[in-house]
Amino acid sequence: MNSKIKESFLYRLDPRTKMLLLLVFIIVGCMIMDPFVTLGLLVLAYILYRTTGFSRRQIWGLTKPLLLAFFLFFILTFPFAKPLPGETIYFYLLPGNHVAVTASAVLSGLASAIRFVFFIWTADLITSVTPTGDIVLTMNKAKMPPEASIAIGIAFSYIPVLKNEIGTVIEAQKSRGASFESKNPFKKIQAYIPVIVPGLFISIVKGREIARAIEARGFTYDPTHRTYRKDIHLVAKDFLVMFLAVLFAVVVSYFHSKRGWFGTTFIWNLLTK
Amino acid sequence: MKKKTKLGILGLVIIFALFIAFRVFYQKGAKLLADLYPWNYVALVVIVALLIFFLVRYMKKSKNAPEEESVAPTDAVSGRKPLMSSNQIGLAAAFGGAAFAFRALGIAVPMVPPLTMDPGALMPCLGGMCGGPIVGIIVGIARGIPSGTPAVDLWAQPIKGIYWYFVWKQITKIKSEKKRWVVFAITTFLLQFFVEQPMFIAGNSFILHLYPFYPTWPFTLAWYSVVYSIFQFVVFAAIIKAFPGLFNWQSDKKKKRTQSV
Amino acid sequence: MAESIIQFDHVTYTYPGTDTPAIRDVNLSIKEGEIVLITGPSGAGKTTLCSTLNRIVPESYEGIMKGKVLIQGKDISSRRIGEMAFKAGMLFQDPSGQLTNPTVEDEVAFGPENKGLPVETVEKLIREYVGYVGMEPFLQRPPQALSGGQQQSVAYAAVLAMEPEIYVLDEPTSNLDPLGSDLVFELMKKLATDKKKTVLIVEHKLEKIIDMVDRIIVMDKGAVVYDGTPDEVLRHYRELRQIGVVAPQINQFFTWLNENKHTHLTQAINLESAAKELRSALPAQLPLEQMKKTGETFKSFRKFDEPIIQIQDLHFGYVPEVEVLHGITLDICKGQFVSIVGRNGSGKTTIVKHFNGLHQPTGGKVLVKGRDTSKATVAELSKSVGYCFQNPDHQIFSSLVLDELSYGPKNLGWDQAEIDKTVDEVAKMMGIEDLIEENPYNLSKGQRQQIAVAAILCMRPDVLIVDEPTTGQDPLQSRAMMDTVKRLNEEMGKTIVVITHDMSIAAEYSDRIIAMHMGKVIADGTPREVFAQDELLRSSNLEAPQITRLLQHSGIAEPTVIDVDEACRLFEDITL
Repeated sequence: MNSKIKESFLYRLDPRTKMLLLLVFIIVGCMIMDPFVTLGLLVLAYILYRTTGFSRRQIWGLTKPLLLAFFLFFILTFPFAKPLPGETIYFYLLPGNHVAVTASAVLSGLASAIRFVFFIWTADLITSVTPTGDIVLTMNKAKMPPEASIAIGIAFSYIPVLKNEIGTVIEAQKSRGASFESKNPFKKIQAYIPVIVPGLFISIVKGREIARAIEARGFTYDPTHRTYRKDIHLVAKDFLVMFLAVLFAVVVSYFHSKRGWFGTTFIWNLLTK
Repeated sequence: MKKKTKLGILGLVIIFALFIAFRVFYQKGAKLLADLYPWNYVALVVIVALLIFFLVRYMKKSKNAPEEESVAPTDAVSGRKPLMSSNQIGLAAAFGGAAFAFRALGIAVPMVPPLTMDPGALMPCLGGMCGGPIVGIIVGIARGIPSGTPAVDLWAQPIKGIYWYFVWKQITKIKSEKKRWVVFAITTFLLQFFVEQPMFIAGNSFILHLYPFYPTWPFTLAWYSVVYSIFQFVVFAAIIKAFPGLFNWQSDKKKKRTQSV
Repeated sequence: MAESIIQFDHVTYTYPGTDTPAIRDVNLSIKEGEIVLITGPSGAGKTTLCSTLNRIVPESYEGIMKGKVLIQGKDISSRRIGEMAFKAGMLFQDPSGQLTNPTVEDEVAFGPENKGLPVETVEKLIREYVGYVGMEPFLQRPPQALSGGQQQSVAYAAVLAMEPEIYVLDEPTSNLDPLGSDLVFELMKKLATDKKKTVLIVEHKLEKIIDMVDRIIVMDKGAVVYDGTPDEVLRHYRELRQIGVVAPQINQFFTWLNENKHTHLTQAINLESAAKELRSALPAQLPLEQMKKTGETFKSFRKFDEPIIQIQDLHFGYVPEVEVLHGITLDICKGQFVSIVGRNGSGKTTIVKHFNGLHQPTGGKVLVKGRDTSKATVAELSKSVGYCFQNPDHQIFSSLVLDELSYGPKNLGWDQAEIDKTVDEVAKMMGIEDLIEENPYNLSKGQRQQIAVAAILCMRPDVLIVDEPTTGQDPLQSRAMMDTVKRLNEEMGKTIVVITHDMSIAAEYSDRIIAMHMGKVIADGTPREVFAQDELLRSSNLEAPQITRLLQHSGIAEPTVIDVDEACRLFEDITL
C-alpha cells in the first residue's frame, strides 16, 4: 500500500466510523432499485477510491474479474422480473409468451449487476483503508472476548506466511509433474488435492506454533485485563463523517419510503414521460 | 444434553425430509413458479433457530460443567475459563489465515463465472469439525471480513462452521466406516442444497437485492450445489484420510498409531 | 556459591499417546546467572526439558509428569503457564511461527501487554528492547515481512521485554542462514555478558556459542549424559559424535594434538584465540616440502566433463525492474555432486528453480540435456530434473505412502505396471518398503523426508536437486540425509545439486562447490579451491569450515585442509 493511502482522510478515520460508513453504503445500496441512481453511487465510490489514492490500475484490477459476475447477476434477475401492470412488453424471449422483455425487467437486471459492483467496491475500499490492528481494537471495543479478537488478529498477520507456504506447495507439486491447467472442473478438483492437503497440514502445524508462542508470551496470564497499548478515539471528523453518513441514509430512506422514489423505473419514468 | 443434541439433529433431518417431500410433491403441481416464499422463510428460520439453540446449549454446557475436563485451562490470575484454549486460538488463527491465503493464491476451481469453488470457503467447516463451534465461528468471521460482500459472509460463514461442528459430531459416532462415508457424502449434499445455498442466496437476494431468491434457488443453482458438494466431499475426504486422528475419524482397518501432528 | 535458581528433582515426563518418556529422571541444579548450553540429538528431550520451566509441559500437552521442578526454590507444579511465562521467557526455533502481531512494535509490546502493565511502561520497554536488538528502523513494519535473522531478533526482543528471570533459547538459529545466525548469536552474547540473568541455550551449532557458555549439558534419549564445563565435556568428542553431537572442529583438533603430539594446548573457545594458541606452538621453520607432499595425498575430487545442464548468460528478475541473477554461465556435468552455497538472497534457490522450469530466464538460456527450458513445461522437465524441497510437508498429501510415491509417475502418464515396478525398486533402494502401507502423517519427520526423496526418485530423474537438506536437522540427521543422496550419486549415477549453508557438509560430500553472492557466482571449483579463497568468501558472508580457517589464520595457507582428519595428517609431519 502506498504512503498516499496511509495519509488519506479515509485511512485516518476511526475504524468504527469506517464500519458505519460501509454499513450506510450497504443500506443505501439496498434501498435504491434504480440502475441510474445506483450508477451514481458507483461514481461516488470511484471518487472515494481515487481521492484516497488508489490508482486506476488498482481499481480496474479489482473490477475486471467482476465483469462476468455483472453479466450473471443481470441474467439471473432480468428474466424473472414480472412485468409491471400495464407495462409495454416489447417481445418474448421464449416461445409461448415466456420471459417477457420489458423496460422494468432490463432495468432491474442492470441495477442488480451495478449494485453488485458497488458492494464489492465499497467493501474493498473500506477494508483496504482499515489496518488489521484497528479491526482487532474495534472488536475489543465491542467487548468481544480477547481470545476471539486475538485469533482474528493473528489470522490476518498469518496470511502472508501461509500464502508463502502454500505457494511453495504449488511449486513442489509442479516439480512432480502436476498440472493445474485442466478446464474440466472435476479434474481440476483432483489436481488441487495435493495442494490443499499439505496446505492444511502446514496450517495445523502453524496453529500449534502460534498456540505455543502466545502461551510463552504470557497471553493466558489474564486476558480480560491485558493492556491495549493503542486505543481508538472518535474525534470531530469522525463525528462529522458519521453525521453525514447517517443523514445520507435517512434522506434516502425518507424519499424511498414516503415518496416511493428510487424504484426500478424511477429515472426511466422521468426520462420517458 | 447428548440426547437433546441427537434430537436436534434428528429434527434437522426431518426438516430436510419434509423439504424434499414438499419439493417432490410441489414440482408435480402446475404452479411451478408460484408463491413459495413463506416456506423458504419458515424453513430457514427454523433451521437457523435450531442451530442457535444448540450453540447456546453447547456454550452453557461448557460453562457449567468444567468438571468434565479435569485440567480445564484457566487464566493464571483471574481463574476465568477462557473462550478458547491456546490450541484452539492457534488453530482458528491458522485456518482463518489459510482461508484467505488459498483465495489470494487463486487456488479455486472456476465454474460458470463468477461462481468458483474455493477451498478457503471450506475452512470454517473444517475449523468447526476439528476445533469446535467457536473455532468455526472465528474462522468464519476471519473469512468474512475481507469478503466482497461482508453483509452476507460475516454471518453466513460462521454459521457454516457451527452446523458442521454438530453434524460432524454425529457422523463420527457411526460405527461402521463404510456407512459413515455414505452418510457423510449424503449429508454434504443435503447441507449444501438445503442450508448453505439457501443461506447465501437468501443473503444476496434479501439483504443485497442482487437477484431474486426464487427461482435462483433451487432451480438456477441446483446443479451448482451438486457440483459444489462433490468438490466439498472430495476435499474433505482427502483431508480426513490424511489426518484421521485430528478429525476423530476411527478407521475400521488395523489400529494405527494416533496422529502425531 | 550463587543460589540455584532452577532445580529439577527426578523429573520424568511422558507425552500422551506414547509409552517412552521424553525426559527421564532428570536431576539438575542451575545456578543464578549461569549460561548453560543444552545439546544432544533431536528427540533427546531438550525442548521438553526447557518447556517444563514455563509449564507448557505438561499443561498444554497433558501427559504424565513425575518429579518436581523448582524455580527460586518454589515448586511450580501448581502454577499456570500464564504466570510462569514471565519467569522463564522462551524463544523458539521457527522465527515466523512465533510472530503473531501486525507490527514489530506490537510484537515486542505483546508480552508486557499480557501482563497488564501500564501503557507508559509498555512503551518504555518497547523503546528499550527494540533498541537493544537494533530493530528501530523496522518498528512499524510487519514482522512477517522481515528476513529470518531480523524476525528472530524481533522475537528475541519480545522475550526480553517480558524481563523474565530465566531465558530459554530453544535452537533459535537452526532455521536461519549463516548471516541470520550470526546476528542472533551476537545478541545472545550480548545478553550473556551484560545481564545477570540465567540463560539456557539449546543448540546444535556448538562452535558459535561455546565461548559464551559456562556449562554444557548433553542429553540423549531423555537423560542427561554429560554435564560440566565446555572443556570437560568436549574432551569426549568421539563419544559425543556417537550420539550425534559434533564438537567444534577446533576442539576436536586440539584434543587430538594434546593426545598425539603431547602438546598442552588450552582448549580455545573461538577461532582467534585458537589461532593464537596454535601459532605459539608451531616451530619457527615449517617443513614446507613435507607438507606439500602430504597435501598431494589429500582427497582428490572427481572430474567430469559431459554437461547435463548448461546455463548461458542467465539473467532473471521476479519483476522487470529488479534483476536478481546477473548473467550466470556454468555447466553442471553428468554424474557430478555439486553444492551451491550462499546466504539467503544470494540467488542460489533462484538459479536451481531454472533447472526444472519453475522460473524462466528473462535473459540468456538454460539447457537441460540440450533442451531449452523455455520451450518445455515444468511437467516435461520433471522427467529429467527432480526437485526435492526442503520441507517434506510441502509435498506430502496422500494417506498412503504408496500413493505418494505413485503420484509423480502418474502425472508423467506411465502405465500402472511400470509405476508399480519403479515404486517397488525405489522403496527397496531407500529402505522404506515396510512403510509403503502407512499413512505418511503418522511417520517421523526423518521418515517423511525419506519418502519425499523417494517420491521424486520414482520419476526417474537424471538430476536430483536437494534444497537445504540439513536446515533444522541435527548433525546425525543431516549426515543420514546426505549419505542417502551420496548413495544415489554413486550407485545410481544421478547428478546431484545440493543447496546448503553448511560448508562442512558441502566439503565432505561434493565434487564441486559453487559459491554465490548477490546473484553472481563468486567462486566455483573443488571444495579445496573454493575454501582457499578465504578473503573472498568472507566478503560475501560465507565461511570455510572452522578447521580450514584455523590453519589459514595460523599461517598455514598451503595446502588447504578441508576437514579435521586432513589437519591431523598434516600435523603428523610437524614437530611441535
